[in-house]
Amino acid sequence: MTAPLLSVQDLMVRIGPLRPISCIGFDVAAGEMLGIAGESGSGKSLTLRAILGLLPSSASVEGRVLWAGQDLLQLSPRALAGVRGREIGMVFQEPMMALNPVLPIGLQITESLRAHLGLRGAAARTRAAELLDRVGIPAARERLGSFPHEFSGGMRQRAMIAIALAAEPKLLLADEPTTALDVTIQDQILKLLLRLRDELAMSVVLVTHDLGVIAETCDRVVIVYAGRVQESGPVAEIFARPAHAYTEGLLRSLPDPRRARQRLVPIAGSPPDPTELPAGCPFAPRCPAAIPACLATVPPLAPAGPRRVSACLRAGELTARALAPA
Amino acid sequence: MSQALTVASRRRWAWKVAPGPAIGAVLMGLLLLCAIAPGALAPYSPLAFDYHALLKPPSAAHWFGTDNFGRDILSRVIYASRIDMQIAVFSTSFPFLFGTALGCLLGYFGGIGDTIFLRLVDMIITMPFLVLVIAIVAVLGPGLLNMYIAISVVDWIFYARIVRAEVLVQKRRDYIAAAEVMGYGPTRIIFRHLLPNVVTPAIIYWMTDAALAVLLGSSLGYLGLGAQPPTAEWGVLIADGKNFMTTAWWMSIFPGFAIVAAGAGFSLVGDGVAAALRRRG
Repeated sequence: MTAPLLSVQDLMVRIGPLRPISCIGFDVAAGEMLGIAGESGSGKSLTLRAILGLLPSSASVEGRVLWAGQDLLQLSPRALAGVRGREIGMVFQEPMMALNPVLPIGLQITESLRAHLGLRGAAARTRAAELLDRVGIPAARERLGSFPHEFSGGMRQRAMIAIALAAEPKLLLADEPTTALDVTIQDQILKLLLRLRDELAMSVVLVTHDLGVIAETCDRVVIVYAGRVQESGPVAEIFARPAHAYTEGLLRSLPDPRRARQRLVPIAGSPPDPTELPAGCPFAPRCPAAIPACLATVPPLAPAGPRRVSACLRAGELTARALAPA
Repeated sequence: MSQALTVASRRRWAWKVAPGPAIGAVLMGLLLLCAIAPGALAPYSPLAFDYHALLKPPSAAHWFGTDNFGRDILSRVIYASRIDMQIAVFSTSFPFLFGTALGCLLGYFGGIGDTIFLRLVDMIITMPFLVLVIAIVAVLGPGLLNMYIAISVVDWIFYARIVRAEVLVQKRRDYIAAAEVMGYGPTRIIFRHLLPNVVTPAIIYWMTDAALAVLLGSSLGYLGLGAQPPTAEWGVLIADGKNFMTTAWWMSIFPGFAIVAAGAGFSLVGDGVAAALRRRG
């Protein structure tokens, strides 16, 4: 296997007494679309922000974020600024909040072209129009002067993507890019991301709480719970044969389109309070398959088949049977 | 084509002319006209003595009457508007520019500079503004230039405070995080991305402040600390007239009206600008 494009290792984030991220690690291969899934508060968005050093100064970050042979967490602000935008782009959940309300869209794109590629004037405007066109905004040249509030929600997210892609980064971090959009627009944006990944040969890390989105778009998935990676591996295999009781619980709580009017099986309880995490597996208190050993110590990530890891003590038993209809 | 047209027309500021700002604009227009071309409007020289017409009440020859040296009050009020408009602009421009820029930096970076600033604010606001300015003028010596300096030294702090508070709110918004992950440096983020989003309250305060500056300037002129006689300045004119209040009321009343007109003009226009900016944002 070739060296990964981005490698996050043992990432830990402390904010005061809280430890919203205990231990998160994953690799992103070139050209890959990686999904990070988890419930609200599991630390998935925080992980993206930690990668690019966007956390407030009150947070302390440990671990390593390896990018092109250097640790992003150790870089000077100036060196980090050279990576941000130019090599790694980011798209946010709520495009209305993430676009500057008082600057025209065109200017927000040309600014990146100017800062990162040294393009100016007419050349920059032409390139900006091309970018808007590429993300599917009609009459791109006329829209360069429009302000974010003149765009619809889906158009704003497209514009946001165009801005993030202006400097042709090798990796795009997408933080719930479709959560604020309605379902038809969601689908368009996901297709757009897939198409752009192929056209620009970049990698995408897609953070979402929607397993449907992951199933539709991603090559591999990382399942995060209470600030820890619980399981990761190829999407098709994990969805067919989860190797973690938590993943299985998540999949059981999804509606199955092949069966009408079924009862969904929710996961009992709620995620642990980050101020008092359990001593053992963080999922154990809610886990129907928990055994005494689960409560004792945090289970380490262990191989669970080719290219798969799981932090579940009963991974072997789980993968032995295909996900049975509940 | 029609779509492009509507987009273009929406982009222009929708100025709905409310009566208040319209009156303000007329007052401001008149004063600006006086300030720009006093020679064209004033019937007499502001400094010309006429010993045949001392302390004359308003008449067809002297609409606002004459003073104890026979100088035409209307001409003096018109020439004075040049000085007073100058006060409004000069004594507020530096505080606006410096205070806004500093407020951006303090709010964005925080740290020790911000802490020192807050203590400075605490100190300054315990003292009445006028008293503080008078104290500084007393040290520097009376005169217009020293008055500008005195006002500027104190006034920037209010702009910085307003802008700093707004920056603290705006810098937590995602578009600033987005600019940071685009790899932009702090200078670009502060002045390109943050400034246009935080400057509105400072502009609105600037309008109010210009009105206050006219009042302050004429107050200091009245007290003999600002413009010096025989320069025509509204506060100086009122001071000139105060000994003749019972016999020649017109000497003080008309400059007083001019001050009221300037204050009302700035405030009403400021309201209009505030409404327009709010509608846009």
